[in-house]
Amino acid sequence: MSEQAAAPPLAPRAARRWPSTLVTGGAITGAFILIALLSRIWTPESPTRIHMALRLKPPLAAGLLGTDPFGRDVLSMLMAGTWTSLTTALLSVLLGLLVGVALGSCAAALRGRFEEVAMRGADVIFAFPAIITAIMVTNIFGPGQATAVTAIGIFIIPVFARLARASALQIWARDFCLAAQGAGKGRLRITIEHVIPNIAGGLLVQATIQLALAILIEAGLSYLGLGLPPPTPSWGRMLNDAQTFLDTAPWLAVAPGVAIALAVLGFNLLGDGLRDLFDPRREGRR
Amino acid sequence: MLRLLLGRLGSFIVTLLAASIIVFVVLDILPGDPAAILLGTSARPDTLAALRHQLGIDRPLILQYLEWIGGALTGDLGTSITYGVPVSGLIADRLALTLPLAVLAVVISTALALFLGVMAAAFRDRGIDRAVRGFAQLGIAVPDFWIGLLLILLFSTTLNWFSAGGWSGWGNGPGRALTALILPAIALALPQAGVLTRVTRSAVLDVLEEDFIRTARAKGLDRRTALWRHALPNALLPVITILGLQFSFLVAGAVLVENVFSLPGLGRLAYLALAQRDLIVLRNVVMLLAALVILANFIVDLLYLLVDPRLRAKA
Amino acid sequence: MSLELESVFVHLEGEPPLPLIADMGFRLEDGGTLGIVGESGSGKSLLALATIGLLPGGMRAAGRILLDGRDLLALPESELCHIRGARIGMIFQEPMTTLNPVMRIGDQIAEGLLWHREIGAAAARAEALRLLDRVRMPDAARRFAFYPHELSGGQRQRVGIAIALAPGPKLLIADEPTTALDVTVQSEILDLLAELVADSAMSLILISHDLGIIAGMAERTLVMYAGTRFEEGPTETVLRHPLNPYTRGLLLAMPQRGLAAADGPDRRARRLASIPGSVPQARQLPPGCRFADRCAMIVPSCRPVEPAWRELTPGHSVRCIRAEALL
Repeated sequence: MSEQAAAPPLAPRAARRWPSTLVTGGAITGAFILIALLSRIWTPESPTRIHMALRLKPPLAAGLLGTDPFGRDVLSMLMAGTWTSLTTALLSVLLGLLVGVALGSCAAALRGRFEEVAMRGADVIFAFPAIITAIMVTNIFGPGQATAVTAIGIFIIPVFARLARASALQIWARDFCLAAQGAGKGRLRITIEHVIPNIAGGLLVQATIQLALAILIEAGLSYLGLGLPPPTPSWGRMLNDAQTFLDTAPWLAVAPGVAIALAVLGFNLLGDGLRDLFDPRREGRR
Repeated sequence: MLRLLLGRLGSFIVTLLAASIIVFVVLDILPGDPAAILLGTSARPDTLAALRHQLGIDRPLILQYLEWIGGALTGDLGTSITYGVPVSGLIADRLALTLPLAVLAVVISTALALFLGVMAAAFRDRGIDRAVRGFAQLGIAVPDFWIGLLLILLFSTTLNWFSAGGWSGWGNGPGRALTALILPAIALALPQAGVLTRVTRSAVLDVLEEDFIRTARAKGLDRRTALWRHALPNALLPVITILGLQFSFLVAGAVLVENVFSLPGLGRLAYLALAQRDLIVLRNVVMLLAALVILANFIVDLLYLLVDPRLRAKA
Repeated sequence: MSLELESVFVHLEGEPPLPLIADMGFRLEDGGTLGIVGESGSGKSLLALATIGLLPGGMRAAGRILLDGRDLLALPESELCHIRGARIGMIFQEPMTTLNPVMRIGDQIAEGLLWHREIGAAAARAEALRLLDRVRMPDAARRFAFYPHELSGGQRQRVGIAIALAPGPKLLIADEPTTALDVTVQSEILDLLAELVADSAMSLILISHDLGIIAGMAERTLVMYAGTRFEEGPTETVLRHPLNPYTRGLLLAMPQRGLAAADGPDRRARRLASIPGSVPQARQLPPGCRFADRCAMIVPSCRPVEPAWRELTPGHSVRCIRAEALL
């Protein structure tokens, strides 16, 4: 339209206000982190001690959320499971982020053959769902946290590789990078000193969202028995145990699922909130 | 246009080959000696050697790989160690369950997402929009296998409408087979619908700001017609992109959901093969699952050309 | 067919509301052509959108817009859908973006016909093809099935014209129809418009920043500045003997001979003379006359109060207290 000069400004907004998603997401994730840390020093009951006399008690009959088929307190298991989920998720995302960003930023810096091969490789990796990779890796190493972290981490690499490359390419096109190159600075130095700090914000947002995803995948893996082996409590395996006793103890199937959903929701909201914080124009657009 | 299609096809084949190499390396080379794994390290050397010879793993690796690929092209995938039957038959049976399941889930999630996404965009920031966005957020957060459990709890245990699993095959009437697939498909579809709804809404909102929507309104079209007839077709491109990317998660979800509902599909087969150390089945099933994802992305590439005529012109 | 605007105001909602168009009005009779001239930001496109009820979100129009006596601003949306296209057609500025990229152009033309009239698909297509030929699209039969990206800018604008004409409106509003086109194509499109308007006895509102285009096509001219009207009269008179210093400034800034600069007191000003300063932002309108900060003929009484709109000579109105000096 030819009315650019009189184009109306965006409707006035209260400036500097924290996005509601950020607050809600931050609160939820903060609560989970606290619970995870707390579970290392205290839980209402021992999450691993078997107590056959108290097996399959409904909520409030024994413990706030009842007991599982082995008499273990569900609430304590949930708390301990928080630690399992969060640490596995964190390690996986770290793995994916470090390898992915390295790959992506090198692809952006070097271009040409390397870029092609790297991005193709990322695409191929993405064809393997984390569960499939986990199955393959378990075949070698057996189940455990290392397996889970490796499998999930590998699956996350392509996301960060693509994001890092796309964002880095935008930075490389900017004047100060061209100037630095002209002054003779090596590509590695430019990448470390200029490119990475500028893409960090976007990486943080994506990392938060991938954390949510990692929690979800980890739950699936431990449901199938591919995660941490017993007696370490994990939400996914609690759901597997609950399945056998669905008729007699339906409450067992509810709590772990709610925990998973809530944790994932919290991290997703946090990610959305961070994104809105860094780019307020997009608020209301998600 | 033909050049474009051939290019895509070439890309598809290269990716498949790369994936097959990865599968072969990770499953056949890395773990070490399958014979020792199967018989235990304390077995006698000549027994181990005999098994190695029977499995064909005493030959050069390249040869084994090429044999596998060659066999795959002719339909011979080897014999299952556990069941002793041809793997191709085993897989075909399982595929007849997993593929319809996946397709059903895609159809449900896409239909739901397109409808909800367009509604949310049309009534932006009003009650409907908020409700849809909330539903989407929830859908994304909830694990699909948990939804499966809850569905079983609700419909089987409590209401007794559906049986909680079991599969009679297509031979006994497609109706019964579909009934067995409905609950698992819904469990698979809901998280997908959550993701797709957000994408649809965002895409439609973007398109609604384009000039040609104004042209449509200036013609006299009302808001609703402009939305469904002009905005939505232009919003499909990002939706299709995400749909392709989501297929990876769909396959993962299928593995989980098949286990929840005890459905004898590919996912369950993969899991069982791992548990039984049946490497031949495992190798082929894993490859097939990866191939399905790659195929889905290839189909998405082709769909692009169908949906956006501008892409057909590019060499 | 008559269109009359009375005291039309458009504002952007907010705290406080932002006025975008103030005290606009004009009258267009059957078969007449009106040219609306103004720089970017003068509000001319918004006025067109207000007339057909397609203002962007957050903007509201007040006043009366009477089409054959019916106030369009008081009509419900469902009624407006019958008027848009069928009674008032609109052509937009950017041919690159005003067509649906995934729909064949023939279908886009036929759509208007199918929407407003009770005719079958085949009849609509035949009529659409006829229209495409009418707007002088080369090889119309073959191009009927083309997609917009397969056409040039000029060809797309022809399609835009065909789309606007299809339902048979009596009033056509053309908002900068040639601004985005190559110079060589511009005159073709303008000639086409003139011919079509004359053939169908339509009324035309031509919006442009280019005085030359207006001079060639409009019977009457209305000059807009910063959201309000500054001068209106027969085109010949407005361009040869402008009564508003702004209009005069516009004419002097034109690199063309033979217009107002040839007569009147500034004969020697054959050089390009630009108006100093720039159009004020909507939020920063000066008190009094909007043009005061840039006007060469300013006097103290220009400042405190905005001049009223008055008819100085029959059929020629102006918003300026110094207009007599230019008579």
